[in-house]
Amino acid sequence: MTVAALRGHRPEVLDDLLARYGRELQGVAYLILRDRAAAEDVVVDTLLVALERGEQLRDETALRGWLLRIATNRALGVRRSGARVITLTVLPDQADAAHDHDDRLALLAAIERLAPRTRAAVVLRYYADMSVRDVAETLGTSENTVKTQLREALAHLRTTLGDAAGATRAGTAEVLHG
Amino acid sequence: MADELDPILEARLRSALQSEADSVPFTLRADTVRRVGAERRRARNTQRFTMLAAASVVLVAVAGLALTFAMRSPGIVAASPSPASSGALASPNLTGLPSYDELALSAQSKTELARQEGQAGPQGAQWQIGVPQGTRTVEVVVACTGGNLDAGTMGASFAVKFALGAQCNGQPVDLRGIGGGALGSDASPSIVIRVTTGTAFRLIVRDEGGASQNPDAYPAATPDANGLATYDALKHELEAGGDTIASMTGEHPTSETGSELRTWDLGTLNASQGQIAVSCFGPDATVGFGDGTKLLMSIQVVCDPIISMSSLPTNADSGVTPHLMVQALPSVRWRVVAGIVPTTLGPTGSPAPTPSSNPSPQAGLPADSELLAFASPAAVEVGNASGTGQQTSATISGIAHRVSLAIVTACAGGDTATIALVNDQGVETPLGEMGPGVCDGKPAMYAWASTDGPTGATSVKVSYPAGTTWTAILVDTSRVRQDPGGSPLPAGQLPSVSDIENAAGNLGITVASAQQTDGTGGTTAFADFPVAGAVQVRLACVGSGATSVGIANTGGTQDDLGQAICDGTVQSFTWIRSAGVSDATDARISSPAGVTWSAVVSDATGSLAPSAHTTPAVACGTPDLTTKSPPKATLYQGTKAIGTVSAFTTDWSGAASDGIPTTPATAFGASSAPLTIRIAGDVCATSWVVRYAAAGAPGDVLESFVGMLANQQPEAGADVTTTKNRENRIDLAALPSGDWVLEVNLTFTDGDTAGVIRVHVP
Repeated sequence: MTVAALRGHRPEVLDDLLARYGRELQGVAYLILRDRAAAEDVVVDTLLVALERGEQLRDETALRGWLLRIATNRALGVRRSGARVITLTVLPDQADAAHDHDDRLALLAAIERLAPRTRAAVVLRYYADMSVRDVAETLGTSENTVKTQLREALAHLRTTLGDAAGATRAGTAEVLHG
Repeated sequence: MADELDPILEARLRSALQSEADSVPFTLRADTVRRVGAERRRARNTQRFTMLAAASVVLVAVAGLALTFAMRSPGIVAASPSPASSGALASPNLTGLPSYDELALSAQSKTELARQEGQAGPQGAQWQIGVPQGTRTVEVVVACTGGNLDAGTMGASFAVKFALGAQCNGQPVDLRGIGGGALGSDASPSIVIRVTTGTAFRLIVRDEGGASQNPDAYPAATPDANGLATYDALKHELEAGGDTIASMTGEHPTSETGSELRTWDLGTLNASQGQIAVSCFGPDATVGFGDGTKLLMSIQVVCDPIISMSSLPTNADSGVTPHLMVQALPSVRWRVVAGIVPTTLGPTGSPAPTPSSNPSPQAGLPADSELLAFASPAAVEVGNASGTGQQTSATISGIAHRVSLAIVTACAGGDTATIALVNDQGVETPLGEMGPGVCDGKPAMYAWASTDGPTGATSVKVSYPAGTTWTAILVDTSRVRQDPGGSPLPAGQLPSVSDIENAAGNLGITVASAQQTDGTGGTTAFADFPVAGAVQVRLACVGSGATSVGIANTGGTQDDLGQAICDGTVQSFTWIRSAGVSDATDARISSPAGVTWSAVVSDATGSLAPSAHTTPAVACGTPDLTTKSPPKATLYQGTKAIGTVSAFTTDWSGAASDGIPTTPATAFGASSAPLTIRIAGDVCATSWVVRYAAAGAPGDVLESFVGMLANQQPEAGADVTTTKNRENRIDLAALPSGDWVLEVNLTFTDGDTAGVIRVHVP
């Protein structure tokens, strides 16, 4: 039904698309861009592109992947400018919760430092729960590239979390001064 | 290598991403999407019309000039109930603009003060919109089409705070901080909206927090003239009986670019529990704890309500003396009071001395145990030395067969400490220098990997200026793992592949791993990784007998890298492209029966890349934030530009015009000449990753990246605006012969970019 409406360029399909996929599309775009307004723009763009090019969708089961692909590429095409986005929140009072919160913030900060396409691969794999093959298809690259990106990202996150826990970095020449 | 990555970390990652995405409200409606679509269609049609009408421009130019002139003296229009000036149209055409409800979705503040819509006639128009007395700052969410809209306040003259210009495109724009806290000083506070000819607009005005909606929330004496709660008001919010331990007021002035973060250090806190009361005015600020230069734990403060409260986070695990710090964007004023709660009253003078069970070998300097603790509880002390007066250096042995090492020292009376590696023949190779300013009596550490120095080094020499009192220890940090536990590996026990991957000293991207746990012995060739630059094999083995490591090419020719000591430690072997083996494809481990081993192979080509300059090669340029894109990057060979890095879009297999160029950008001669990425305008990147992949025929799907040419990531928690290693000239490792696609990822303080370039190396 949705796909038929898309192929027919019928505007009412937007309600259905938004209800079924809007939140996830916004999530993917937001996690790549870390900017709510820009993420909303990406969702709008994605739905309008889908409405305009609905006839390109051959396989009905591929609708979600197709939308995520459009959204991801739109998000990667967005060049952030202007004010820096600061994403920090109030720490809870409980020590355990604070630890979890710090951990999450450290993870998110580390994700933000990943290269854009690596960040996109992480978001698609671990937020959109796509398979490595689907991530590769979405990003227009090979599975090996995605595997490498994910391994590299996890290694970076591991190191970052280690740093956040106070571990001393070594491996390359560096000076740490107390 | 197995596809299994790290289930625990992956689960944490999933949870963090889900929580973060869920924290963003989803408010988009299909009506909004349809409206945007309609506006775009209309804009496209208008564009076509404009092109058709271009020939008529000359005919109407005189009339246009007349209208522009008329705009300089727009009529004043009352805001309510409807504009009646000759400048405004009585029946505005507002078709296509968002509704008031849709505007409200973009507002940050809650209390609505006014609504207004209108359209200017041929002379432009100006609306003065009254707000309740006592209102000090307002937020305006506005959408307009057709021209320009200025928003501001009216004093002796119209003070424009925002000019929308190109943003007058039918989309909601959120304008904050209008009034700047001074609206309330006027008996009839108002804001002013001025629009150009034909511009239609709709807006809502909301109270941004200066006017108290709940006067009992803080003492009547606040806020002060700057819009901040007074110190007394902030102290009042702290728990009764607590002592104030820090307080400060600061301001980050308005900036042209509007994006630089500024950080204040309020000093160290001698308390582990307590509260902070914060008042700020303007965009959001961040209060947190750090090491005096960067924030390690942070709390976002919303500058509305006027006072925010938070508990001090415990700092037991941070490993640093906590500094109370504030970070803010431009146009923020802030005031902070921190206090300790009554139950944790403690000394407020100098920090309590750190217990020491082992007296220092030099009076006034930390003991060896403290130096070791400074490195890491998991570090292993290999040797130590100390001296004073004329004893200015010492050589500490025991570095052979160790992967990651560090000198931890404390000194007084001098200024620097130099580190050199020494081989069996006594030949010294300088490794680095600590300081100036290192000799302040506190621990300082210099860490390196075995591959950073010459092969064959057996000891390390530390030297100080004459008259220095010093102590130093040499530590092995190979077992300093990066996992949260941080515990050392059990002696004599075989580490897992994961342990090796997590251990410090990894020089590149993991491309393969293997393990032999049954002790069958023999030669194991594993992986199929086309690496043309450098390979690092990290191996740990347990048992007796010689276990050797080699790298082979597709023809089976092998470069021997050496033998491992099978005591369970992680040892590193590095291979660099040689005449005999120019393309590595297999790592080979040969072990006798009874030996078990685990190994990880990394593409270490990036480790061959020149180090980032200590300071940018050229002074950092100022980014042009008025453009939508970060600056372009260009690939240079020496001083010659050989191609521009193209931006990605959707298809980077060679098909898209803005994807990978279908032919090599430039074939250049001497492959030994250094390659450099230069950034336009000398703008500095704060981090970068440059990788290369084999370029296939046009249209082929790009194969996986086979190597890293440059890699610089900021440290965790680093303030990228002050990161030392900012750079606008990125030197790359030498590329092997062949056709390659380079992926260039650059991160700037205000955005990031990814691009590709295709090059041929003869």
